[in-house]
Amino acid sequence: MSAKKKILVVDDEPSITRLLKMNLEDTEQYLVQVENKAERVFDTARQFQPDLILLDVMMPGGDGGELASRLQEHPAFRSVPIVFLTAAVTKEEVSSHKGQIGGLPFLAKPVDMPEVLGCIQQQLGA
Amino acid sequence: MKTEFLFAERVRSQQALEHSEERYKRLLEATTDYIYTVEVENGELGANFHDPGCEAVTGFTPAEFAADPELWYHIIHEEDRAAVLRQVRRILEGELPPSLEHRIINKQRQVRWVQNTPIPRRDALGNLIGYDGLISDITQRKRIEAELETERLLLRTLIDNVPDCIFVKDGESRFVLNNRAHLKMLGAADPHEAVGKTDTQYFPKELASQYRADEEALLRSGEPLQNREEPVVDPQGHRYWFLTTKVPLKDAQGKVVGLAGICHDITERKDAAERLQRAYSRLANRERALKRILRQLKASHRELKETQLQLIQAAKLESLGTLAAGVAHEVKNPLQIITMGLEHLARKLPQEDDQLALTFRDVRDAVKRANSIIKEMLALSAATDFHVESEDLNTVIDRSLWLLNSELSTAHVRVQREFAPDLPRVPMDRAKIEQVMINLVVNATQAMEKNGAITLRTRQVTAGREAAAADPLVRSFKEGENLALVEVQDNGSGIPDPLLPRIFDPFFTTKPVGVGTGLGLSVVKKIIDLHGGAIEVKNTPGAGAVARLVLRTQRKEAQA
Repeated sequence: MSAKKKILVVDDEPSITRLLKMNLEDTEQYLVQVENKAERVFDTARQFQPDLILLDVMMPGGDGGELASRLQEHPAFRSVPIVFLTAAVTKEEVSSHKGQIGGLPFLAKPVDMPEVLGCIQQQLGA
Repeated sequence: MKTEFLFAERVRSQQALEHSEERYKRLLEATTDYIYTVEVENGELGANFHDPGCEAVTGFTPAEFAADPELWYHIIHEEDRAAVLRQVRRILEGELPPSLEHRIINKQRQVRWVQNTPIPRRDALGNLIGYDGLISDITQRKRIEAELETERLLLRTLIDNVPDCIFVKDGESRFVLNNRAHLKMLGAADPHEAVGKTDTQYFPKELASQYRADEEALLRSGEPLQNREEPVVDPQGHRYWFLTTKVPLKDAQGKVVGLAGICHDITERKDAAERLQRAYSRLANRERALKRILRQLKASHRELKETQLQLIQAAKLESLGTLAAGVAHEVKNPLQIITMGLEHLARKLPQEDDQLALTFRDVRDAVKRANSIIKEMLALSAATDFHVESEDLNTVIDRSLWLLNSELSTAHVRVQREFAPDLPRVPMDRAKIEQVMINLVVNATQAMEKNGAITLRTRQVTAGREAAAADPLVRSFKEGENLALVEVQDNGSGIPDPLLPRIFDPFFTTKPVGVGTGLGLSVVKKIIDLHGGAIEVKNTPGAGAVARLVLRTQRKEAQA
């Protein structure tokens, strides 16, 4: 059994981050750190060193898309996959773009766990 | 008594004398000729004698002539004396000169014209012994001649100075007289050059024969030809238009012996009329062009208005869209929480509890329903992204059917297509019309039991009074507009009549709870409105319901 993959979940809504953390950690495959403040994402990420980031697109205090670009430009996180979580588009729109918007994978809220896990596994190449 | 008789006798004699003198005087006045005799002695003029007629002509009596042997010479007008003397000399030289017309001044100092005809008289040896002469008073004739000459000159001046062409022709249409303008037109230098010639020698054959035919008719009938507008090409090749009048000339017996013609040059007027006509037709062309432009402008205006309406509609939908997107975002996060929460709870709670499992399923379904309502709301408001292109409506419908393939076969629905093969293209947002067709076909499918049948029809309709009378759906379109009609007919149970007016209201549905969102037909209506089309849903007399929609087709000129 390899070490648990570390996932950073960023969303301004604590209930969502808490439930995602619980459901992901219940699988015993992931170690999850949550962040509800967009402006603290860099600090938290530097400290936690995630293998993947689940990022809400629309948050007060920071645009998810812009945050993603900055993370990808940073040498420390360049290779860390980012998966967007968004309430702004429908599943149909996501699927019509083959799951990607702006070159990054997307999950449209409301999303269930099998979908989330499928996407994470795909991104981590597991 | 005797005295009375004598008196009466004297009175009678007196009266007779007066009567005789009166008669003589009248005879004298009537006399216009008299004879004179001149004696010649040794080649010289001798005595001259004048018969009593001389008084009537000269005012001098024979006695006065006898008393003054040179009176005859003195009464000759000074300017004519030389001519008279020449005549006398010729007689003396043995010639027989012709009559001489000259003037005399009579006793009343009036100028009289006389004709003097001398005849030599010779003796048996042939020697000239005198001559007799006849003097005729020709004053009257001379005056008439002068008047005629004046009149002739006046006429000639007139006809030569009017700008119109004037000519006289004989019975064979040969020129007898041409005025200056006519000669100039004919190109004749000499006033007599044209005399005896005909039109054939001056004008193109066709024109000359026409003139000749007209003149023959005139000479035959004696009827004048008045104000005939005729073309003329002169010998130099210049073209004119003449207004010609020809009148017959008759002799004393009334027989037509020729004709006189007058031609007024109306070339300028004709040209002006032609220019006017050309200007008028140019004007008419421009007017037509303007009308065409006006029509195009009106059409553009109509299109602009339609576009404006669509924009207003789009703006309304945009604000609705903003609202819907906001609502969607706010609702999706709670839905996310419920979904995640359910999954967490499902793992933590006893698995064997059927009641719990059912509750979980109900909540999960509720989330799905809430999510699909959000989805429809977004569709309803996502009209701002409106891409119109010219599409083949039949193809669009076919693609919608293809997308629904699995739903249709699951429901065992038979689809019958009755498409018009030559349907003009329709300007539309393809994705939105596809959504319309999907919603209508899904509605039809859900309205039927298994093994239902859906009939899809397309047809071309031209808007107008007749079409509107037959089909109220096309009433709102303008006369002559080309439309495409689509019908989606099912054979279900139809829609209860009282519910029909509410069929397009948002969140209104006839479907069982959980099956429909109540937004499907609202979305359809919005999309059709956005396209400037019309839609209705009604029950068909047999069974089932039919959704009917019309869209404007591409204009004919834009098709190519």
